[in-house]
Amino acid sequence: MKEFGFQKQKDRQTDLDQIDLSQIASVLQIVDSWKRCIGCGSCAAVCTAGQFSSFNPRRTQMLARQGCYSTLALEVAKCQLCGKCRLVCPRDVDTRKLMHELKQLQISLLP
Amino acid sequence: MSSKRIIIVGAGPAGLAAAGVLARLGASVTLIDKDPDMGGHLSKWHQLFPDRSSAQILLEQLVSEVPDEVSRIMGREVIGGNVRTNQVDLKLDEGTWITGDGLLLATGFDLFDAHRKEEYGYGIYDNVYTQAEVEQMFENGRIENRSGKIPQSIAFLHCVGSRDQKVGVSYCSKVCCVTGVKQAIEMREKLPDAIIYNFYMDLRMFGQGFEELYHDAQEKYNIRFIRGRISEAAENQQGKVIIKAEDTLTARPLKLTVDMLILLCGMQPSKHTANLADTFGFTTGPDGFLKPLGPSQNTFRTRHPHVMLAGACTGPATLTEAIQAGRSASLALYEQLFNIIN
Repeated sequence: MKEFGFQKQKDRQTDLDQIDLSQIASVLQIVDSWKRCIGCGSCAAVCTAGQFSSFNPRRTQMLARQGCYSTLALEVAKCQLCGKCRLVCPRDVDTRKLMHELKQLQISLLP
Repeated sequence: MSSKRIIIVGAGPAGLAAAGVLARLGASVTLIDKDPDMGGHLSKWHQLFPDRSSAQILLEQLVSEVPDEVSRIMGREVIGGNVRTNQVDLKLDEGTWITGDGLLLATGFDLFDAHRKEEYGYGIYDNVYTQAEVEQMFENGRIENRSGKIPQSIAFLHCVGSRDQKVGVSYCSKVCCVTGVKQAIEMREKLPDAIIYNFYMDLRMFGQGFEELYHDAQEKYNIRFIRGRISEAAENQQGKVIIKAEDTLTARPLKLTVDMLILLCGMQPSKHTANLADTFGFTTGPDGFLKPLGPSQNTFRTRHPHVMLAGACTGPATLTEAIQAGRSASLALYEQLFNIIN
């Protein structure tokens, strides 16, 4: 193939036709309350790690929900499991347990 | 036509609308309310959404439609009674009993008690208010904080005691969205230089003219909308309120200091509604409101053919809906008692 001297950017779109969500389905089974999230951001407002890093629990759980595994792995490692998010969640999602399960998932996804 | 005695419990918008219709149809109506004055929450409001019409004028109209023959028992609460076939006996708190052929309950709602969301500091910090207190400020024509200063920054918080399982309220109270937008616009008119925020999770502008009001708030009134629920509030030494939230659309934690924090509290079944449900064994839904027989048809019927429900005792309702329900339930009760249909 002819080299034109530039690189083609990788597509950023979330391709729901291609993504395998079976791993996420199993986390949803363990943390049933996760299904109730409405993305209000209360968790991110109080997050200990989020005050000083780019970590954001609301965004992280959404990355997981959509199967964006590569970004998820980087993000979920930043959570300190302090559990403040769980205190403020209006939908009573067990956010701390969710983050723990996502950390486990992230480890299992490592090569 | 022999007259039928109908008791209406609750003289708010639904009860007043019902009393007007039933009395004009020829029933002998008794209207009871625990408050000394008629009007319920409407009597404590200044302007109504979406058209900013006067609450007092609407109340005067509703009251004027209730004929003089309607007997009014004010400042009395129903504390017991029996529902029998074709008859209802109610016991009042003074010990007397009244009897009717039919009963219409319009016992309404209470505003969610903001003290229960302790993290917002209502009743702890000086400058945290509810939307009901703000209506009183508008009515009195003076917007000032507890130390008498005119606020320069104001934050409204939506969904206090709505969609919140931590306080056992999983339903949406639906009218607070548009109330917050309406009050923000009123604030802007009174305080042209103030910075005014609305913190929301979703804005549910379901009614006619609601979405347009939201557009106006954005385009004409410079209200700043931030999509994120406030997680906690604190107070600084100047008595200002420090807010923490996530600005979810930039995905960053946010801090803000305001002169006033206004909590848009949801609706819950009034204490009176809950007591009557217990006393008479009426069915309540998971939200605690009285549950009518059907969700689409029969929205005001109970398992007793001569007992009807109207207004916010069956769930969060706009004024329009409460008045409509009062009138519809009245007609259904009239048809029932006067054997119009069988």
